[in-house]
Amino acid sequence: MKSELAEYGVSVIGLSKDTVEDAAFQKQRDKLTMTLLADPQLDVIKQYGVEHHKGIEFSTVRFSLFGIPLALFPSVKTMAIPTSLLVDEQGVVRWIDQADDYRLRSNEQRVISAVKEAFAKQQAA
Amino acid sequence: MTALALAVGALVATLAVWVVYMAGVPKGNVPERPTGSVLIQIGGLGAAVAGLVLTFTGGSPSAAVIAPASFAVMMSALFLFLLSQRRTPVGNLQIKVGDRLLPFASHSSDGSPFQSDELADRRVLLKFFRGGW
Repeated sequence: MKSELAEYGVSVIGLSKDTVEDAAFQKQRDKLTMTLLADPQLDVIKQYGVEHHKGIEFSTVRFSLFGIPLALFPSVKTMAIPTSLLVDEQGVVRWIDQADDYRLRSNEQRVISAVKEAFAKQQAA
Repeated sequence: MTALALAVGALVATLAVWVVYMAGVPKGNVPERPTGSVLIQIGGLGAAVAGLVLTFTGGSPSAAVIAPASFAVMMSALFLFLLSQRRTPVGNLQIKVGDRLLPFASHSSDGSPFQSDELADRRVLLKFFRGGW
């Protein structure tokens, strides 16, 4: 998906309630190239109305075994409902996708179709 | 012996499902319908309970059975419970297609401040995600 997005000049920015440290850790552990934004006070998440109040989260230690996070104690936390916004160069939202299953991220095919439909006339801005 | 086999088998099965499932979580590679995982967890739960029943009705309950069986019961029940809670609420999205991005400020993972006006003249896929992994 990354190469298709690059073809259309689309940058990916991820935002979650992780702290700067946790976001940095995830970026390094999962070798992510996208920009990760840290919103631990949920300011942006609340501003956009995507907070999920009864999200179940495990406290994981940063240590993981062969890249598999060690899930420890579950707790109920407020976090973001997985939501994707496709935004054009004028800052206008062209497509929104919101998961109804907290485990799943936005389906790649849907994202690529949305990108192609939104930016069909010109590939890169 | 049967009780022990059931208890240990249940524990191995339930932990194996947890490990395989969690391996996919950081990158979001989890099955939309985890039927296999659910079936194994139900099987493991049943086997662990059967092991506990056998050891308690057998005359001399064995810690070697009780410990793994109890752990297997907890882990499989937890897995099944968490899956049952996977539907997210509708939420209260404050933006719709055609609106302009709401201006916001945040911090990037390298600690530097981030303003949404850095996104001017750029096409962006802004992804809100759970975090926590």
